[in-house]
Amino acid sequence: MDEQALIASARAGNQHAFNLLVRVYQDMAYNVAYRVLGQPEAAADATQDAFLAAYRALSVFRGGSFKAWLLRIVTNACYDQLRRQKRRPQTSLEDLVEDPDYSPSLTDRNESPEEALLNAELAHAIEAAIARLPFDQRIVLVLSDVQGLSYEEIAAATDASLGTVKSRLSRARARLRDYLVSREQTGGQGRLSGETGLRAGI
Amino acid sequence: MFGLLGRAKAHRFCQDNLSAYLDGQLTAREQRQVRRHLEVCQACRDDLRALQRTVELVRHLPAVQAPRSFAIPLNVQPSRTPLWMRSWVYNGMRAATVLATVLLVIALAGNALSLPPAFNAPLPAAATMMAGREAEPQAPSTATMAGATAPATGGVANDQALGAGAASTAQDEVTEMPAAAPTSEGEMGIAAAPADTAAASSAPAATAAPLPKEPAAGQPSADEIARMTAAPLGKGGGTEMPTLPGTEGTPAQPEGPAAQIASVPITATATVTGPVTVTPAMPITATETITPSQEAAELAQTTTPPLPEPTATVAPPPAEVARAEPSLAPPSPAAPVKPEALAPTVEPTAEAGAQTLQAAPAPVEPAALPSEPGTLQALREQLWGYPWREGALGSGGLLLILGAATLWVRGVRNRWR
Repeated sequence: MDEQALIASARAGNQHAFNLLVRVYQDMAYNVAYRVLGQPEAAADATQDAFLAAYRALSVFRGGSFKAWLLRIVTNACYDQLRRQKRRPQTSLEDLVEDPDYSPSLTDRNESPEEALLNAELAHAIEAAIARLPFDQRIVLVLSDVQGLSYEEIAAATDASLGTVKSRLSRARARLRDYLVSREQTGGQGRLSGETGLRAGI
Repeated sequence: MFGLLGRAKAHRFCQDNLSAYLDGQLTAREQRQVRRHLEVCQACRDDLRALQRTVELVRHLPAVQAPRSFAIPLNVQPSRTPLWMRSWVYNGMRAATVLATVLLVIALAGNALSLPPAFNAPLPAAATMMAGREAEPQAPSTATMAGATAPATGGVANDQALGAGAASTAQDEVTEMPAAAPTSEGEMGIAAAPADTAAASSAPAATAAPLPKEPAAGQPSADEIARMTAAPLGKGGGTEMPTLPGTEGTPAQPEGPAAQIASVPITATATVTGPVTVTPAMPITATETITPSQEAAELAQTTTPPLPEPTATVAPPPAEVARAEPSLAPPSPAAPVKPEALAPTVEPTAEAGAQTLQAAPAPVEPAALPSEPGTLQALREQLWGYPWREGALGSGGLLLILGAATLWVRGVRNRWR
């Protein structure tokens, strides 16, 4: 069954069809939530919330890109999760950032040679840098550079204009770059220096 | 080729667009611009390289797998589209918001356009409120005596006890509508005792303080007119309690507070607390207590300009102010003065009154109001005299509520589409 058929069937009330869609998109949704929220539990909660909300709001879906629509709901779920965390903070993003041993993203992954370039420390530094971005910039950066969405898709998913997406992404990347460069210059260990350093020849 | 300024500009442009340049999201022209600058700017080249590397690093962040299945449990049912998400509800709310806006504009425009007459038009009504219903029979004669030039006067003259309101209206005219001077001829105001004085004296006299602007052509004969000196109104005027010839305070009723008129220059919010006693046979005798509310006093002090004429000669109404003891309803905060008696009123606007005056000094027969005006209305008109004010307030409030609700619904809807 192709996606449109699944969607139509799900809209007609076929829960099984919707769960097939869930299976297709849950990794993507969880990845976005995880990169935006930085915590596995919060990401799982946000993902579950998003799919439930999507299921309930399916009658409002007006066609177009289901992926973008779903990502929008995931984005909102992440935002809600973030607000909930702020209200009753459990593990804050900062704690996570400061914990050098915490990098669950690198566990049990079948890493490609490219991914292997990233050692745990560098990956953690990047995650920490992402976590420092404002939410608007973070979500755009994640959708663009983690998920590989086009500007148009990001605009649809974040309910923003193309120009806004462009400038948010530009600022997010620049901040990330500056953060990583300064980290490199202040003696950050690992692969950031030398050959793989940010300013190393490309 | 480029000046220093042009160079800085190009640098800035380049910096702003490096990200889009990487993604190939620039137009051909912008791309050329960036490339041209990159050729001459080492810093930008370095930044571009670092940016490229950063993006690559982010792209190569390892993907994570969903820790579990997020399939919807079977017991969860898809809800029907919530009411606030249905488009007709939303569109209806938007339309209603627009409608409220239009209403508000209309009301405001109506106020603005009808403002000049509005200052006078409400006066009869206000005066009416003040006058006692019992006095109705005497109304015509009173109106005549008072010169009947101003519509407002007729009503006011009937019941001096309630003159405070009249005084305020008269002041309104005097201070705010000098142009309408002819209309205010023969108008009567009653100077009320200030609140503190009133409180101190048990049987204060009610003072009628008419405020004729000019001698009216159709003024009633002098003997019929009791001369009264109005206490200076406005600032400082409140402390004096002038006793006027022919006007005496009657002793307080055994039970119940003596009636006093406490005057606040503009006593829109004066509250009548005691029973009103109007003693017959006295041209102007009123015993009643009007205790102006605190707010009223403050309001008056802050808002009322000093009266131009502290003293005024008045044509008081003929002796028969008949009813004793029109009991006033318990004061309500919103309704300062409960009108007890219905005063005859002439409906005309200021211009109409003026015309009548000039054309024929003959008294205008006041027409009795069919219904008892609400005190809220009196308050409103005394305060502002905007006939459309209710509409403006109503539509403004409606607009606020509808606008907020519509924005909320839009926000909620937008989350899901």
